[in-house]
Amino acid sequence: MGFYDEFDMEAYIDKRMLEISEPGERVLFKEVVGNLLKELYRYNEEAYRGVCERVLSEEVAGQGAYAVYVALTDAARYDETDSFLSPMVPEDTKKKEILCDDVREALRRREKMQLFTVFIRAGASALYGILREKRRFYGVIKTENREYKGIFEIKRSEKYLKLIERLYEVFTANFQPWVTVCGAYLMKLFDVYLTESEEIGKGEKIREIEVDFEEYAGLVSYDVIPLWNLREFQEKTSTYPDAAIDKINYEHQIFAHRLKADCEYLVRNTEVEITNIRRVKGDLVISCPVERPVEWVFYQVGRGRGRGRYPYPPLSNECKESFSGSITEMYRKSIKTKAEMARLIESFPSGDCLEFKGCAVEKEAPEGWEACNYNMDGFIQDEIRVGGAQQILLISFAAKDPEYYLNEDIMSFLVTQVQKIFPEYHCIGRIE
Amino acid sequence: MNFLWDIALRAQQQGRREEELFFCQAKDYSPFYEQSFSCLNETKIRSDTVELNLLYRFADIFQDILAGEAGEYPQFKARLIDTALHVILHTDLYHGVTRREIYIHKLMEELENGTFWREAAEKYRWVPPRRRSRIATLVLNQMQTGASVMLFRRALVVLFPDAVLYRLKAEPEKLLLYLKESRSQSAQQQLALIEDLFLPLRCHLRVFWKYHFGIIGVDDAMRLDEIAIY
Repeated sequence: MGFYDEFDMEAYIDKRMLEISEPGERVLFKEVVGNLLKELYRYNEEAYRGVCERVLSEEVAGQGAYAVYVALTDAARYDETDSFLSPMVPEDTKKKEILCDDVREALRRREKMQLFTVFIRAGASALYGILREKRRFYGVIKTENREYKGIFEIKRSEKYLKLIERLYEVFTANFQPWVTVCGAYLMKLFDVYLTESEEIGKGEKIREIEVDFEEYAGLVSYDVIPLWNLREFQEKTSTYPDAAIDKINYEHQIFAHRLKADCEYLVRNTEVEITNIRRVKGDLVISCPVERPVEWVFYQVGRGRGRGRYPYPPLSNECKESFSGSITEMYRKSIKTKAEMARLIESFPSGDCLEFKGCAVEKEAPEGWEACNYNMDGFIQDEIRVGGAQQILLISFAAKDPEYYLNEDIMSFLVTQVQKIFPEYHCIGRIE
Repeated sequence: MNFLWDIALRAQQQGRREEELFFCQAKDYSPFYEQSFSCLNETKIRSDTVELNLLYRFADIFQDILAGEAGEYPQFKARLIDTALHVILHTDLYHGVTRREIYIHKLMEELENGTFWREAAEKYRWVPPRRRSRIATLVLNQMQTGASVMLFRRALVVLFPDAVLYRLKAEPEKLLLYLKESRSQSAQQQLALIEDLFLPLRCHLRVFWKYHFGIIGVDDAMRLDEIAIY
């Protein structure tokens, strides 16, 4: 970074050298000026660049350290040794067998029986439609002996969304500011329930269950495993806790060699009253009132590496590290112009499939907004909202590929981010 | 102009490239100045060869080489002095650097490469290079103090020095803008840029290109065939 950039010292010195007609003087110039001043100049430039970088880096907080990535993989392509992403629910990796007797029992009691989870690769509005209509699908249960007809229903799978909700509590307990997790994939996971079927023979073994998802048939994937970059990790306090200076708390230390150097750790023992968590030379030090060593449960937060190795690329809530971003954060002024809004929205690389077009304050929400908009932080109920009288902030986007099935979900993610900044408005996104 | 650095900056403004400038010790000079122009208040660089009184600030560096015998290695000495001065020039240019300057420079970089906002980068390209840092300064200003119509007006003055901005008393969010320029792609892009960057969202801007709307009692605004309809 220079302030007078275009000048090329090395070329300049060479040019002046060629002007010298006397060979003896030219050699002298080459040696003294060429070798010495070129290096001197380069050294100076490096030093200035270093100063500028140090000044700029003062303002960059380590924003990316706790970024959460969510991805999906097919069970067949799941890699157990992957060090970056691991299953959200470890049991997902084991194939679950559906027992005939359980099905019979449930049907006898007229209960809906949960069978398995599917991923439907359709846009948010289409899925909204299925759920609102309470669509029922027909299918067959195949056993060794024969096929039984059945009627099936789908419900959004809450298990993974609950994990995100729990994660919010963990972040709060660890004094980490919450950044909405991009749960686009998770909103497309559905539990399939059997509601009715022909009476299945006793003791038969179910080989396969086939559901006809009609127009969605080509979009449904069975046996998917949601992944994230949080790995469960347990570790006991490494030594006897030290008394902290306040005489109330104890400092629990976990030695650096037990931890991964490039990972952050989130304490999941939310029941313990933690007053401080810090890293000292790689060791993790947790201050809390418990005087005995504690069996700690952590999430180890993996750092993002290249995408593409997964069938469904990871979606993250990581912000692009930019100077404008960190300095805006530093001064914390409210957003008032279009460019400020655009900068905020574009700072999330996951939003690359959408382009911010503009925003406007409206009196009424456009028709059908509920279908393609949802709040990804819907579980946070602590906002001051005035309810119905709110004005609408309509944010328009253009989609790079209008057919891309995640467009509406990514939009919801971005709008959720904007909503946090504008609690006085009801923010709604629209793809033009 | 007195010093090496302000002479170099002025030369650059006048379209001379740094690699064309050749600095050397002046034959006639005043001991009270670094410059040695024949006119004390010179405002123009008239030649690529710039003569300076090196003993004014850099006596420690150059006194030995200047005091040596004139006949020895004349070509080498002249060029050694020149290149050394080019190195010193760059150090000189960093002298005024403060944290704010570094911020502005970085913001300019992010505005140009699209890190700030892809769409803004395309419009920012239309801003003449010499005005870019002034716009970046206002961007930083806005980050520090929040957006306001006042900042929009200041940006307007940077790009369109003759602009007139009106604010309706009854409806302060309505702004009327008169621009002397006729509507061109460059002017439109630049105006769109500062609208996006600085104009608070609730404000509405109506632009009058080239022709002003008529104001009764103001003769300049009431010329026949040159009145825009409001």
